[in-house]
Amino acid sequence: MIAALVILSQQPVLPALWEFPTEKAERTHFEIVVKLPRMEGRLRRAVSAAGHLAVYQFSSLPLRVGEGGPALHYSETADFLRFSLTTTAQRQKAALRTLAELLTQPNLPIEVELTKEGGYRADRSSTANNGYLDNQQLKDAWRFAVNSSTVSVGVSGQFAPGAMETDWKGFQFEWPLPPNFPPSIPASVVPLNEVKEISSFKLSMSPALTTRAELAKVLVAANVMAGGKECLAWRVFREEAPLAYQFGAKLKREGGWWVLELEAETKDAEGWDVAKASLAKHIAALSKEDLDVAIGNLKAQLITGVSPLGIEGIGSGNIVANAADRLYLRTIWKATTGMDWSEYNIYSDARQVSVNEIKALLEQWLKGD
Amino acid sequence: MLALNSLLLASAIFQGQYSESNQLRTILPNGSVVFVEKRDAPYASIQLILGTRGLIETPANHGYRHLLEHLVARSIPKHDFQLESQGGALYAYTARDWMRFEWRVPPELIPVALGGISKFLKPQVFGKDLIERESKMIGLERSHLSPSDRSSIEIWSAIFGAEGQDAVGTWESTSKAEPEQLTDIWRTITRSNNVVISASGPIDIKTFTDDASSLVRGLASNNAVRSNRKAAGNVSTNQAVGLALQSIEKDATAAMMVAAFGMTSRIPSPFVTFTPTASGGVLLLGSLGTSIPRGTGADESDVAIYHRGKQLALEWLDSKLMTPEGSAEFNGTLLSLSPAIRPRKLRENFENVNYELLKVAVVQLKEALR
Repeated sequence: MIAALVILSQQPVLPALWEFPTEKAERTHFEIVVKLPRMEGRLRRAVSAAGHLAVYQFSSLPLRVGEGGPALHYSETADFLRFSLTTTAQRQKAALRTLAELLTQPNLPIEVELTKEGGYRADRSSTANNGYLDNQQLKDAWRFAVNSSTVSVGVSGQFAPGAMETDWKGFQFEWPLPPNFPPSIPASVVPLNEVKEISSFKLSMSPALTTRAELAKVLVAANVMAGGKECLAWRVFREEAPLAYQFGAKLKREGGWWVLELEAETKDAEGWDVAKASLAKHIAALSKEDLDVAIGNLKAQLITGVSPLGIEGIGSGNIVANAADRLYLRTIWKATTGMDWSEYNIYSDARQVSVNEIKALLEQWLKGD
Repeated sequence: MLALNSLLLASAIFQGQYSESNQLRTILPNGSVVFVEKRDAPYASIQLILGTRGLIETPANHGYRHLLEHLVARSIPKHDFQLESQGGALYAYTARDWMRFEWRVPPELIPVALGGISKFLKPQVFGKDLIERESKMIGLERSHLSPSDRSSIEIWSAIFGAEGQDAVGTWESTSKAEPEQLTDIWRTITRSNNVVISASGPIDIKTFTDDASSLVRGLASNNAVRSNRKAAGNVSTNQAVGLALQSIEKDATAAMMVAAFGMTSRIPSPFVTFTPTASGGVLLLGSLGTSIPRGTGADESDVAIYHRGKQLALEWLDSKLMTPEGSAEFNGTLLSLSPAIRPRKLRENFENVNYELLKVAVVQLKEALR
């Protein structure tokens, strides 16, 4: 009995890996989400710098896993770090190993300079800065953020059920356990200012999402608002009151909430109020046809594998418009709710949604909360 | 003769099955091309590609084709509704050497896509109000160009002058377009020798070829040939170097691509941009970082560049053909340049790049990076 317990305690603690085998998939997608513990100031900046620089220094990654171009995409929100990788079935094992290596043994620089603007540089090149982070501080921050309890891996593609999990368990990487305390990096909150030539307008709301049916309803609403060329945003921003070339709907997790967001980017800052009023009119007059085209677009994204315009408009984490984003959402959904969904049952739920339900959701979205 | 026929029949019987090729390229007498590839996929990609033979593009009509792309894409009432409510979508894109409309649809919507192509190939007339609206969109679109797109535009102009101007256009240029000018340009680019229909997906090859051919058979040719751009030389900016290239099917072009892909390992956050062209093009090697490092330290006799470059070039080619939309686009745009240029030929070129050819290309790249 004692011997069995000893063996048990020696089992490596591995982060969760969820397989979503997909028939006929031509590529394998990996989505690694790192649920960030609560942190701020320099510690958060250290994690951000470490993430960017670790990926940056993996310059041979495309060769090892990719398709002849950068195959690994890195992004982050307040709540998550996201590593998104697309590869072929032949290279999926190598890709998974490389990702595990990147997360557990990042090649971090000796020193990082924090710039006054809220960014960082890997050299001492700016005349005015906000101090430095040394290699140990970067390592400590990385371990605090990226460990066996914060990492979740989602993988979709053509493989036998259990195959990826077997590979994952076979890698001899040591995943750090979560440390008891945050590393002692002096706190000094510096705003992360983004310099942008283009104005960005956002409409955000936090929908209550606890069931698959509610998720389906939100996805339909997102498509009514910003999916394809018949959506409300296209009609308003592109045709009636030309304002924004690029717009997109997102569903993301922020501050422990689900956030549904419409973002429109424009260089014409005036006109936003006119556009909002126009959106309100369209929402009031929402028809069965609007719903039909949105559900058709959702079918395109989930079942046919076609990505309509608009829904994939801006930035990363764009709902379900491509296989990687779909896997990202599915992985976050499982990491936060413990539930799973598939393309078919979401589509089936979506077909049950009524015009009035969507109208109410869109009205709330337009108002914000 | 009878003996030979018997032999062939015996051979067919011996093989046990008759397999049909999964691709068919049809060159019509008027110069239009139909390409079909049958492959197992949940959707089909049907593309209409319009070349630019016979069209002289100058700063005065900068972006007019792009403006037309915006206008034509939304010209059929309820077309997007019909596609999108059934899980399909229409995309459009304009490049320097072609314009492309793509219907990405479930197989049952292929007739709708062909109906769209038929209507797009008809003469088009647009009013000033629509021109004004879409010109504003083009201005906004230009402001959203990525750093690598901007770098590419800068380098193309530096190498080819007005002949290398981008296809995007500006609000200032497109808002001056007159309806008649647009109608004329549309007439030119829908002449038979500019038209390619390219498709890939779960498609019946013979039926599709017949249907698509019937849409283009009646088009008249303008007999124009593509003129060659004249390059002023290679160009270097903070973020990228641009090298003037010969036609895509030349050995030297393949060697330069292998060299550029091979050199990516020496550059942080690298990108390689290459647009297939038959009339003088550009290869861009750049960095998404703040600036491209000068003097990469690469040695032209470095075997690693050779192997890495060849592998990445072949993977680039494979990645282009991996999806129905990728294959229809790549095959279609190559056919638009010349019916003789096929992906198979490019593969052979990459495979045949020898060490001597590569050395010349690496030296050229190093010179540009100095």
